[in-house]
Amino acid sequence: MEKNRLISIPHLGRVEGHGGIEVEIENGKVTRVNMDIFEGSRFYEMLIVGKKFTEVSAIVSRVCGICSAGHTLTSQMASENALGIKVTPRTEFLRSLLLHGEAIESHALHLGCLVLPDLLGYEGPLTMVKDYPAEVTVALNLKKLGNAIQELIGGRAIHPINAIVGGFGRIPTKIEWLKLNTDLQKGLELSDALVDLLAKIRLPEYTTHTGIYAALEPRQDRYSYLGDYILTSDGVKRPISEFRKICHEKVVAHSTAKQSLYNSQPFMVGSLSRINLNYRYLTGKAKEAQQKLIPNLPSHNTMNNNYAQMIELVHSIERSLQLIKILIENGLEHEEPIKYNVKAGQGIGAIEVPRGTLYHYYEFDNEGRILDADIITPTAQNLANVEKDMRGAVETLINEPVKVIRNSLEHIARAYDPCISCATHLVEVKVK
Amino acid sequence: MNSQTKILVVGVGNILLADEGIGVIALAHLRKRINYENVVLFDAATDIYRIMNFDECFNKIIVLDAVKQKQPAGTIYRLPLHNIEIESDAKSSHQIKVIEALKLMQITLKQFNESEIIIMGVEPDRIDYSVGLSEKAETALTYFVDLVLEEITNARSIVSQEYN
Repeated sequence: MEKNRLISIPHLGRVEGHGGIEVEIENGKVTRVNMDIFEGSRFYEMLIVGKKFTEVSAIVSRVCGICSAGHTLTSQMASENALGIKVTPRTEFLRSLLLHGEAIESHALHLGCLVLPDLLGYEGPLTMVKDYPAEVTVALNLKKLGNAIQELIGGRAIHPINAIVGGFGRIPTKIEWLKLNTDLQKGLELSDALVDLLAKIRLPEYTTHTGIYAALEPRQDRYSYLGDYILTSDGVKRPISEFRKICHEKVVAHSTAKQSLYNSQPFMVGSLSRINLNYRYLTGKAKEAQQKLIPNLPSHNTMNNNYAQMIELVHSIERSLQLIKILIENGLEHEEPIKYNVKAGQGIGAIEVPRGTLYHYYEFDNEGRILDADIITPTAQNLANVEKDMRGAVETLINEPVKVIRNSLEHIARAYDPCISCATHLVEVKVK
Repeated sequence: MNSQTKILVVGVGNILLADEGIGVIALAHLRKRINYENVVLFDAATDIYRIMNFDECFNKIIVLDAVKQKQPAGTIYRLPLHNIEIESDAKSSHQIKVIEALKLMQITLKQFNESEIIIMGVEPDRIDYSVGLSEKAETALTYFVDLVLEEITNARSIVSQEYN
């Protein structure tokens, strides 16, 4: 076995020169593990400085095709926090539903079209579909369901326009809710196929170190993507206004993205963190899925983030059904968004989006123009932890062939579901 | 115009990444120039899977995107989906590509089984975190939009002939 090796997986993203994994081994020891993601440092912030807060959510929603609802709502919540706006319970319900739609579509796509082909040994969903047509079709239909929720509440399929600072423009009719209710019932049944298939797969365990996990504490003792406090697995609870104590950012030479550290340590956000910290709130089929997929919690195998996404997918369908029932029972009369006076201020918004906690911080002048902003994405928060996991995996597999090491690195990167796809969508083709 | 002709034109890309957003920008230009009842213009941004939520069948789907084929920047492409191969490195950590997604949807979703799917795109010059097209992509844009319009017009007449 060579003692000095460089393992490079370039083009982790789709843009040449951006994104990738590099591992260096010298004299049989791992000397360097770098993962780069394509995320322009301070770019999003520069885009919105000088803009009015009412324009900002439409701009930031373009940051990510999958998490556009999350960016939209986090932006609006930051503005509301700055202006002292308290939204109505109905707005909270609608926002929750929008986020459940986002979780369903994101997790279904990741699990059905990326994780499962990978774990079952297929090149991709196009080859997997030949042997597993039902499961791939289920995944696509669940993604479609998530899209449909967002389309109904957000006003269009992508980049919601119906969600505004202070509330929502239009509320769907009872007929529209009932149609969605029927689709969700079907979706809940369909999700069994994915739970069953995932339960048959034994996930690799590359590292077992005890990690640090962070997630929002759900409101009202219910598993949720909204919360006002950040929980960490060392038992500390902080208001979201103290987000910088969790995300102490540092610039690294090998990446355009900044890395986040908590008490100088890497940490993890995302589905597994949420499940590890909040699993006691799970109910119904989601609880059953958790007992089937990750019976022993907390879990320190980050590959279990894949299972955690499946559990959340089921939860999001179940909770959406409950929320629709509540909305109909409470009446669907038109409700005006909360009125407000524009004033200078600063505010923070935080939401659990599919890949972890998303923070938006804004400071604006008395005309509502953004003077300063800080947007911290989940993928940037996870980056240091991904590198830690990769280092652990390479140290364990150091005597294995390069192919085995490469596979482990890709499995780990994929388990975190890094938001690379959203940043770029370039078509690279070979014509026959 | 034949009332039975149905065309879906989809803009794909991220407008925050310079030329990567040319599909979405071209779609916005098309909106200003045409308003046909049976031609749906749809901004899918970075998520081509959003077209799944159309339950109706389209005779033709035209996907507008940045297309990288190592040709000079500004080169315009017209690529029928069935002529395009999926890259062999599909197992790497890449997320799903547009082509793969289109082929997958065509196989698994009945509303797309019979659709003719065409990718129309422009070779990018610059993809980085910035808003607005590069000079070369901007120069290509007008002709690109003209060609997409021609594609729409031809599709409508061809389908009309078939129905006649």
